[in-house]
Amino acid sequence: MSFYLAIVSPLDSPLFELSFPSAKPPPGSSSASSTSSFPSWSTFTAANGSDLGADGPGAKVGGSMGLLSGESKTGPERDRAMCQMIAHKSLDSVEEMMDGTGSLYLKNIDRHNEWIVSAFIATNVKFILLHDIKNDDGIRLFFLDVWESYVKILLNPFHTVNTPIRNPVFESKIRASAKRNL
Amino acid sequence: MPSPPLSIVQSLSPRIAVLTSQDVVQSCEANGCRGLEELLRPWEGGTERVSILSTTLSPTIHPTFPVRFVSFESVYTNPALSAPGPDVTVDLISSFVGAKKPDEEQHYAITRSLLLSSRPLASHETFNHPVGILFAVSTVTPDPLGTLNKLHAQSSSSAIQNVPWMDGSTVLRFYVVVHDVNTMGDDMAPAHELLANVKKAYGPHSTLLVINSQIEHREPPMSPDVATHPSIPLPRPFTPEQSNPSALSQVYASALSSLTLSPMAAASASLGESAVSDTPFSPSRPVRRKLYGAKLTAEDTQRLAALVRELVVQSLVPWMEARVREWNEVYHANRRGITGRLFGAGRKFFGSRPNSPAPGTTPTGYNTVKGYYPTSAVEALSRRLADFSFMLRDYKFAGSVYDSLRKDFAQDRAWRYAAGATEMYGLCLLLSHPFFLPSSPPTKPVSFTNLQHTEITSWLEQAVTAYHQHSPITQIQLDALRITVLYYEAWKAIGEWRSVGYCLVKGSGESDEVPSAVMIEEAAAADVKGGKSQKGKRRRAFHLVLAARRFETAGLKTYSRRCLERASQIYRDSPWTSAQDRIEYSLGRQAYTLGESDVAVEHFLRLLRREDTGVPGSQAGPLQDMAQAYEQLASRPDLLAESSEKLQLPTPIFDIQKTRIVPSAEASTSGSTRERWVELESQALNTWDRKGKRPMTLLPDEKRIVVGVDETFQVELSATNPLNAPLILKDVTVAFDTTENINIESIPEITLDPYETRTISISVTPLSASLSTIKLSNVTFLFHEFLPCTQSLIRKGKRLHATKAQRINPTYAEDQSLTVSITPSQAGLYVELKGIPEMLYEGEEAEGKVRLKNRGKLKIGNLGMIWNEYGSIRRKVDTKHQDTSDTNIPNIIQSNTIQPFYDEDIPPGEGREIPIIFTATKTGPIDLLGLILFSNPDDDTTTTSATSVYHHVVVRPLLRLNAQIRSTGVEVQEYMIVLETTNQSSEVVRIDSIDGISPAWVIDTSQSCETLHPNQALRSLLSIKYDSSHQHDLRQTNVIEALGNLVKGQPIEEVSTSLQSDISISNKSLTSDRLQSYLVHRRSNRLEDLSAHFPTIPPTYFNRLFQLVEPLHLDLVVNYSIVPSTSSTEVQPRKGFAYIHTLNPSPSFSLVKTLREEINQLIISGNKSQRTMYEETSRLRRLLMTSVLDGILSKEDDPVKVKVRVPDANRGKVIHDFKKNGPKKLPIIFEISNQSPLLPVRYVLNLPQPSSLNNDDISTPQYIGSLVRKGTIVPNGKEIVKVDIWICEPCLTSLGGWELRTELGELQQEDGQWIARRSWSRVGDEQVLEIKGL
Repeated sequence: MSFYLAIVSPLDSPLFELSFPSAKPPPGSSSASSTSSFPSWSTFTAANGSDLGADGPGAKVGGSMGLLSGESKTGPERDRAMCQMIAHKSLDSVEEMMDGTGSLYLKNIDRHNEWIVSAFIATNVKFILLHDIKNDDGIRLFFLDVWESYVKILLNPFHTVNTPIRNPVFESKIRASAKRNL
Repeated sequence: MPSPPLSIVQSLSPRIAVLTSQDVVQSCEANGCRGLEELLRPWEGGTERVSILSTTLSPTIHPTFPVRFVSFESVYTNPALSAPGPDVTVDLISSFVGAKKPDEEQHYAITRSLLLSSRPLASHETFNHPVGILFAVSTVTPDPLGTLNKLHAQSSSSAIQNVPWMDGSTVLRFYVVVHDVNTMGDDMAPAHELLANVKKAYGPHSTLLVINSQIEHREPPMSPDVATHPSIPLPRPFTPEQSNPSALSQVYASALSSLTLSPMAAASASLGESAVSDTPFSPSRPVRRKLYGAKLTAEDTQRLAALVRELVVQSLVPWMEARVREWNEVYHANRRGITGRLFGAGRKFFGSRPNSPAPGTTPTGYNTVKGYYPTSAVEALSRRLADFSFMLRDYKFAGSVYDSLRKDFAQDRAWRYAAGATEMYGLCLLLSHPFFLPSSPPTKPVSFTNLQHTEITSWLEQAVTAYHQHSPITQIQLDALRITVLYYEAWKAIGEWRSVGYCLVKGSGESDEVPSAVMIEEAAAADVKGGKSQKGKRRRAFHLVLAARRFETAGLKTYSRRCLERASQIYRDSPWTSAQDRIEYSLGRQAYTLGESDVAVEHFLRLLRREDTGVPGSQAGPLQDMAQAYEQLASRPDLLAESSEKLQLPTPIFDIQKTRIVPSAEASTSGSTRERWVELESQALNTWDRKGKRPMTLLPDEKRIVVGVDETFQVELSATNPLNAPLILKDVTVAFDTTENINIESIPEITLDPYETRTISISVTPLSASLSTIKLSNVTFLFHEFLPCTQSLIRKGKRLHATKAQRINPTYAEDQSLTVSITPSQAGLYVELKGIPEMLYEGEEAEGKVRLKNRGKLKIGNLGMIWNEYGSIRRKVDTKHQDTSDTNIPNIIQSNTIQPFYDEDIPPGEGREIPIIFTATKTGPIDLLGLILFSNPDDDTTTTSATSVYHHVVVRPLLRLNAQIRSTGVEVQEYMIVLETTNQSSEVVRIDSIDGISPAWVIDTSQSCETLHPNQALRSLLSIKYDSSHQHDLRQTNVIEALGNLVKGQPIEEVSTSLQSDISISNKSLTSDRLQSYLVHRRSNRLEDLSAHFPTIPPTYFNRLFQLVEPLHLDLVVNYSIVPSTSSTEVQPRKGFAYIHTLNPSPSFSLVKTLREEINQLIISGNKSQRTMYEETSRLRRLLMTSVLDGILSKEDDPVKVKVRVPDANRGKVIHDFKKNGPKKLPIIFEISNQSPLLPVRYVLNLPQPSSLNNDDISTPQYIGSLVRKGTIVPNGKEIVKVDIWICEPCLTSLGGWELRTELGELQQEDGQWIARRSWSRVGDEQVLEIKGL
């Protein structure tokens, strides 16, 4: 029950990243349907610790390298790397889909394990949202809100399309919208 | 010729069990094979151009038709032999893959071969069920027909079959008579006889095979190939010309070691069975050389191939076609029945099966307990039908059967059957692609439509999902993998890459085994194929990371690293920092565990770049890991030397742009205040009056840093910690382009907090002047105490644009700011200002010291100083009281010049402290800039050098003074000053005394001792008197004359006043100290006034035109001290003076009267009008004329004061006894005084007529005598006019109404003619006088 939003520039660099938990309790039916084809699949990271196998059999070869065996990475950091990778990978799917559709909102274009990726094409940046439950209408409204906020950011004459967004107001707006819609 | 990929066809080809007599086995063993099946193995796929009839009875020629020969035991008695268990397969795959290097790119091929060939005998499909049995007897056999009978019985007895779901009896039986030439000789007659017998007994499916024709012994070939081959091209039979024992052996060796063709051997080897231990299939063990085909000739190989062809073309294919037709009938009949179920009641009534058994005896439906269909069930039959038609490449028909089976199986909840049918249905759809038709030309295939492709993908997905659903997550699903591989091979063949990667990832499931890792890596490879060049790169990166993780978990580090490296190349381009860091970290860690500490350090270094978004402190881990890795690296000097160039910090620590070289202990003269320094320098140079040559410049060159030998200067570095964890820098030092003769300090250790920026100063001392310039080149330090780093500090200058070449190629000027010039030791003076507080009050006098130290090698003397605030710093003279006899003060506005500062010489190395006084003249922040000049006193030719001093002071207001002047009325020039002093500060101020300083006025000094708390006000009265004995020139003729010249058009450079150098003042009690302070304040106030009144005259000329003090000016000085808040006596009381300047008690008069007339005259005559070229010039001239002729100097005030008195009146009342004395004649006195100190005044006093319009209450007086009085009053004079009024009755009378006209003028010296200046008129106020009768 969490979300990860990334705004991706035309050069594929993340302009803005935010991960946040859901505000609403999961509606039972939708969550069941979303994972029905993968009922027993674990999350990417849960089964055996870190994804990149910090606790693989050979990792202890270093012996004295206590820090090398994965303790140095905290949970959120690990998740963030995972989310980034999924978002990055889904850009391929977004670009494939972009050509064939006229709508800005591309729902459920990609998935990895429990993560579902939805995207929104706003001018030349892309909003990528990772979510684990299906909530098409909420996500669409959320994307529209993000778009509005983004356009306001864009009004700044010093903002180019590749400038990372570090505006706290923008972030709080998005959080508020997430609370409302997701 | 296109056809389905060999890997698919091969792995799903018909299987033929081989059952032979013992002597046949022996004949084969002579050739190094363990049975006839191995002897046939190289040729089993070699059947070409096979014509197959489809269900629609259209013959199609297929390019190949492989079959699989297996031993009878592996199919019937011991199925485990033919296919290893899943765990064994996985282990096999990992050991084979692990034995290869990643660069060989064999991992997928090996995995594919092993996966496809390890397909076990399963209930839910019939591909591995035997299609036929090959019986072989040899001519050597003593009783060939009996043996054959026995073998036949062995195959047909159902007891031998240990799985109930396999139909081992409905198979093709094929009989072979083997003639071993080696043992039986060339005579073929017995063989043919035997064959005829066999044909008689068993029908036409029988043939003769002649082998081992090579009788003489052959030399074994030199090096038989024994390596494992995942896939090899199928060999062709040898022609006699090509007969070559080595090649023959090689063909056998490779076929038998091929994973595709003989998986069992590999499995057996790994299982460790002693019987097959000589087979060369352990990847790690060295193997014994073995010679194959020793007894075979080229003809034999042709015969073997012919046998296979005969078997396939003449027996197998027709038999299978017949079975398909036969079963098709059954299938259709049942299909009708099954669809009929929808209308009818129960299935058994509609089970119109050929041998419908009684219920209960043999179950015909799905056995839910054991999980299979019995062989008699129509579903099992249909499956076999579908598989047969699949093997016969009738994919459309097979697909339709699979489709219906899929539904039936799903209805029976036989999930494994359903999954098997589903996957085959999808595969049939896929293989129905026209590209796979043998008739279609080998052109680029047309891809499926999106819809078709999605459908095929969805079938695969469904099957895979079903497999994964019914097993634990982490367990590998070989079924899923196998089918995925088949699909993938087909997709590869038609060049279909859409969502292939996704399917591969899906198929590989969740388990951390090598096969799934290989599949995911293959998915990564598939991602970037097809479509545009850049597409899929990101997905590929993701899949590579996934694959890397699985490889690592499975223990294949090299593969894992390769994947990660490929992924990191993609991620390195884009700023997805977190993912990037993760990959680099893993790579670094893997490299470290493999002992490649240089690579590890390199990877860890990439993690240590600036990143704002990370979790605080997260970079501490990599930092520490890197320290450990580097420690290991350092123990291997060869590696270290190799890699040291690559180890560069990703984010530089030091900011080159902020690096500065600061000549030691000198206030900087650069920056924003540079212009003020230049101004000060020009002031000093303009008023140069020192001995010796005047230098060109006093300030150090901004562009060039000059340092004497042995003088220390500082290199200021700006270090920033780019990490979010604390960072230690050790042994920080800088390097110049030369190392000789420079002493450079090294800073042992600095700890920088996360993201902290700190300035580090490193002292550098040049030891010799042999090099004229040194340039800062780099900074070296130990990054976090272990990594030696060097950062270049060479700066680029301005971008050049002069030439075309420079514009095309960015060219930069040389930057000089980090270059130091070294000169031989020069005279140097160290100056420091001490003891002046940062905050002062206005007018406060602070005592401080200037500390001088000769740091050069030469004696210096003739010290002078110049400050940008004139007089704000002065030397404190010894406190001897000034003699009161000297009352003259300098009356010239001093220009800011070099003041002598210290007269004695300072030998090298010695210091002096000189007391000074700082006076704060104005409020606000003051940047005090000073130059201390010095030269060598012994040598007049040396130039003067200067040292700059800088001090910053904030001055706050303390007292506000407000003065009002009133005439006392007693004497003409006596006034009272009401001085109101308000304390504006928060300090407690004590007013010690109030003085007045003026040339022409005498003030009685008041010695008060009042304490003023904040916001309190003190009002004091001072009486002043005009000192008529003074000798000052009130008309200031010299000044006016000069101004006149200016106005007349003389250039300002040529105009100068002959100024009086001093003026005497009336106050005799001023100490010289206070006088100094007064002069400083007076000067600044005077300059302010002048620039306000004469805006067109440049301020630099004021000192040539005006005097400091005008004679009639009066300045008041309030002498205060600040009461210290603490009562301790040690604190020196803070003292100061507050001033109020330029009071003028007497009425002012125009100083420019005559000048104005002169100018008017000139203008009227018109001969002096100057023409100007520019409008602005004439405007400025007009402005100058106005400011001089109509400005402050032309002000004329009415100097006359009138006072009306009635001498007889007593408090406004006159008492007169009218009855007794009659009307009264009352004398009234008009006192008319001329307050002008210089000019006489003429007056006319008109007394009014009595008016009849008066009201009743107040009567107008009746003046008697002359009603007009005239007179002239001398300067400072007073005239009394006496008049009388006539009063006849008691009344209230008003004494107002008179009119006084006054005229200021002067008498001309020559003819005594009166020249009027200005006149005023005034009317007397109502002044009521009561006249009372008795």
